[in-house]
Amino acid sequence: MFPYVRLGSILCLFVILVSACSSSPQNIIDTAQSTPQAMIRPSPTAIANARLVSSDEFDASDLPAVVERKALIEQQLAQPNPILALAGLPETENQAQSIALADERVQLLARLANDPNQSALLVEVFGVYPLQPSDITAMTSACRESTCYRVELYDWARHQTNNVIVQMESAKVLAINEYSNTSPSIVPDHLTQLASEIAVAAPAVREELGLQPNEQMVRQPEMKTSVSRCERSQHLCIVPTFVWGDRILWALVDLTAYRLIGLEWTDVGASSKRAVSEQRLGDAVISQLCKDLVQLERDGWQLNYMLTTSDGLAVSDVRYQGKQVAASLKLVDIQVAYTPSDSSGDLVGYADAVGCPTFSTAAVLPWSPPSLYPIEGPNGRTGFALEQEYRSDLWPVACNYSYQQRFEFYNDGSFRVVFGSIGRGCGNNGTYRPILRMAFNDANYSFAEWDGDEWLPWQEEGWQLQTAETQYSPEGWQYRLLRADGSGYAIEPAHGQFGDDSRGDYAYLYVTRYHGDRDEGDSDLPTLGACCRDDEKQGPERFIDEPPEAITGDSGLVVWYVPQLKNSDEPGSQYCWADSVLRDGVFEPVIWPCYGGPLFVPIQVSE
Amino acid sequence: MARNRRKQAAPAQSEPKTSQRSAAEQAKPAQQRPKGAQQSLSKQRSRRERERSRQIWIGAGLGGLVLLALIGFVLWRNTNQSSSEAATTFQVGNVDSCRRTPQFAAGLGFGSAVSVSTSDAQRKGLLLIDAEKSYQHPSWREAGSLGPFAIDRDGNIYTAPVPRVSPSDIAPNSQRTIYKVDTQSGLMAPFLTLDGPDSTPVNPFGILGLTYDCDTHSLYATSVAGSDREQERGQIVRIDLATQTVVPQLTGVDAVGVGVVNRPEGKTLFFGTARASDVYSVLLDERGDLKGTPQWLFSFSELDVYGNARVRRFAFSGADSFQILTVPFGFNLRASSDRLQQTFLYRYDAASATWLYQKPLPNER
Repeated sequence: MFPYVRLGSILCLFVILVSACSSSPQNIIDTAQSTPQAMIRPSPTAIANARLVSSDEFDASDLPAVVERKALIEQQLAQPNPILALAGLPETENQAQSIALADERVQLLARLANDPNQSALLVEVFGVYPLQPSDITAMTSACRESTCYRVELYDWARHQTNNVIVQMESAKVLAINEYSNTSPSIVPDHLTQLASEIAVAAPAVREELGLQPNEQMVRQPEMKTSVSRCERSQHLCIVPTFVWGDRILWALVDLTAYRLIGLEWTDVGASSKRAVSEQRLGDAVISQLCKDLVQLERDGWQLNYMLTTSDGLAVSDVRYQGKQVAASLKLVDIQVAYTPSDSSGDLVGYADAVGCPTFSTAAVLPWSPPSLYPIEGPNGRTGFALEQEYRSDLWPVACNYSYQQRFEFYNDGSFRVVFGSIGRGCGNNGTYRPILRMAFNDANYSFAEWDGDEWLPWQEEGWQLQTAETQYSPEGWQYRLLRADGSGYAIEPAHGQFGDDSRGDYAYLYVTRYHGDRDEGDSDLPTLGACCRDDEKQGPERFIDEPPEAITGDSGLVVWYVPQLKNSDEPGSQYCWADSVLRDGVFEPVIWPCYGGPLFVPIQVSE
Repeated sequence: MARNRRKQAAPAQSEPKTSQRSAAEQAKPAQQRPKGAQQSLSKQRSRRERERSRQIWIGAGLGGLVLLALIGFVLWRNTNQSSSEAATTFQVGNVDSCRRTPQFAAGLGFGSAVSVSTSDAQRKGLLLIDAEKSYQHPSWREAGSLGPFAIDRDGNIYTAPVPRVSPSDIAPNSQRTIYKVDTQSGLMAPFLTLDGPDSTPVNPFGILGLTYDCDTHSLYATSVAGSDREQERGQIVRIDLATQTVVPQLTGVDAVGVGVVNRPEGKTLFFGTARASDVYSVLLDERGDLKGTPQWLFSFSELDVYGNARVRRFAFSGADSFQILTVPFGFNLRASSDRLQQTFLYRYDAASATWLYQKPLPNER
C-alpha cells in the first residue's frame, strides 16, 4: 500500500467546487457600528482533577457480573441468531422485538460480511419504543395509519446503532436504519448496573472516596448514569457518578472491555455540558507529564523523566548507586521508509515525532501515561522498566501506528534503551528507523570498537553499521565507552540475544563529541534530515563536524543509535505488525511487535 | 567545532510588505456640520430675508410633503418587495456567490466544474482537479503542505501553509503567510504576512482558516501562531483585498474555521475555536469589521465521536443553515485519517433563537 495515503488523510481535506453555488436573496439588512467587546466564553475545558486507571491496576474480568455476562454472550453468539434480546419488556414491546429478531435481514446485521465463516458479531437489543411521527420516512409511511415500534440494536463490534422499524399489524420489518459511529440513545438498566458494579469494585474509586462505595451511592436520584463515548477505543462507555458532599466523582467505564478508564472530580454546581470522555481524560492527565519532571528512585537507580514536544519520553540525570550514568536518553525521531530507493537514494516515507498529546509536533500521541513494571528473570526480579506507549487513533487499521519506548534498568547496573514498533503501518515493505540519543557527560570518555581481535579506539567522531558479519567480543559487545579510570559501559546491540524475538538491529551507531556550552541535540529536536534513506545519512551525521572532532578521552560523548527493523506480514513470520481479530463478537488487536535498542553493560575499574 | 544544527534557514520566499491598521483607523472621518445662518444687517434686507424665508418655508413645506410621500413610497416598496437601494445593505444569504473559476484554468483545458485541492494524497501543495485530470503548476508546491484556501470574485486563489506530519512539511517561518495564485498567470507567490508572534516548537501552526466575502471584497483569516498551552495568542483578521490592508478583528482568540453569511440581523462572521468544539458568531459592519461581542452559539463536543473535533470549514446554505466540516485538532501533528472527519448540520430555529443540530438521515434499507 502506498504510504502517502496517510498524508492525504491528514488535517485538511480542503476541496470545494470552484463553481460557486449562489443562494437566493431573501431580505435586506442594514448595518450600524458599535465597539467590539471582550469575548464571553462558556465553561473552561480544562480538567482539573482527574486520573487514569490502567488495566493492570484493576482487572474487572473476575467480577461475578462480568463473568455472567461473558458467559451469556458466548452462549448467544453460538446460536443461529446471535443477537442478544432484551429481557423484561412489556408484552407488546416484546412482541415487536420478536418480530424484529425473526427477520433474516436483521439477523444478518450480526454476521460479518464477506466472511466465509459468517462469524457472529455482538449485537444487542437496547430498547423497544413506539415509533414517533417524526421518525416516519417514506419507507415507513404505513406507520401513519398503523402501530409501529422502533427496535434499537447496538452493534458492539462496529460501534453502530441500528433501528429496526416494525409494523405490528403485519408483523413485518418495514425498514432498517443504520447509524454508523453512533451510540444508542438509552442504555438498558442491566448494562448501567454492570458499569456501576465495575466502578464500585474498582480500588481507584475507593481510594478517591476514602471508603468502600456501594450501589446506593451511585444511584443518586438527581444524577443520571450517562452514556459517554470512548473516542480512542471507539467503545461504548458509561459514566456512573458518585455524589460525595458537594462534589461528584465521575467514573468512566468501558463496557466493551469491562474496565474502568479513569476518574474525574467536579463540583456539584459545575456545568456538566462537557461530560467526561476518554480523550479529554487522557489528554488532561498525560499533559501533566509535559509540565512536570517526575523523579523516580528504585532498586538503586535514580532518574528523572518527562514528555517532550517531539523527542518522546526523555529520561535524564540517570544515576546508579549515586553515580551518574547518563545525562539524557531519548527518542529523537522515528523514520518509516517504504518501497525501494530511487536514483536520489531517497526512500518514500516520513518521519514521525512522538511526544506530548497537545502543543507538540508529535504525530503519534501517548496512549497512556508511562508505566513502571518489574523485569523478571529465571531467578526472580532482575530490574524494572519504564515504558511509554504511543498510538494512532484507529490503530491497528492500516496506515495507523503504535510505538513503544522502554527503558530497562537492571539490578547489576546495566540498562537498555528500547524502541518497539507494533505495526501496522501502510505496507508490508516498511523499515522502521528510530533515532535513539544517549548523552554521557559525567566524565571524559573514549570510545572503541571490537574489530574481531581487539578493541580499536576511535580517534574522531564517526559512524559504524552493525551487519550480519559484525563480530562481537567474547562478552557479546561491539563497542565500549571508557572513562580515564577504565570504568565505563560496553554497548551490546541486539542480534537476537535478548529474548524479545528480535531479529537484530542492523543499527547505525554514531558517536559525537559532547559540548556543554552549546546544543548538541539536548533540546527537543525537529525532524533530522530528509526521510527516508537506507544509508548512513539517518540524521545524526549532522552532528559530526567537517572535519570530525577528536574524541580522545577529553570530553563527554553522545551516542546515537538507529536500529533498522523491517516489517513483515507473512503468516507465521509477522514482525512489526498488527491486525484485528473477532473475539467474543468484538474486534480486538492481535500484535507481532518488534524491538530494537542497545544494552549498556557496566565495566568496572577492576576489569 | 560542531555547529548548532537546529538553526533553521531563512524563508525561501521573500515576505511581501504589508501594513496593518485598526478598524477604527480605517473608518472615514465624520463630515463637518454646516454653520448656522448668518444674521441680516439691515431692515430692508431683513424684510427681504423674511419674505424670502416665508417663500423658502412654503417651498420647504411642499418639498417636505413630496419627500414624505417619496419616503412613504419607498417604505411601501420595501415592505412589499423586500429589497432596497440603501447604501449599507447586503442581501441575506451566502456571500460567496461571486466567486469565479480562475482565468488560467480555461487555458489548461478545465471547464467550470473544476475543484481546488490542497490535500492530495501524493502531491504537496495546490492542485486543480476535474473528473478527468489534475494539474499542478511548479510554484504551487513551493510553500509545501497547504491547508485552507479561498477564491475571490476574480478567480484569484488565496491559501496558507499548514504542516501535516512534520514542521518541515512547509517553508520555514511561513505559517503566517498567505499565498496568492494569480487568476491570470496561475503563478503562486506570497501575498502578505500577518503581524503577530512566530510559530514555536510547541505550536507549529499559523493560519488555519480563510474565507472570502464578495460584498466587501474581504478575505478573513484565522491564525493560532504563537499560542501555547497557557496563553491564547491567536487572531482573526480581515484583509481588504482592494487595498491589501490587514484589519485586525479579534486578538487573543485561537480559531480554525471561519465563515461569513448575511443574516437578517446583519452580516455575520462565524468561527470555530481551536481549543474546544465551540462555535461563535459576531456581527459585522458595512465594511466587514466587527461591531459587537462574539457570542457563543453551541458546542458540538457531544456529537464528536473521535475527540478534539474542530470546525475546519463552514458551508452555508443561505442564512439559516450551515454544515460544519470538522477534523481533530489538538495543537499537534497527529496524523488524522479521513475517517476522523465529521460533518454536522445546523439550522437556525427562530422560535428559540438558537442553532439546532440536525440529525443526519440514516442509511435506510
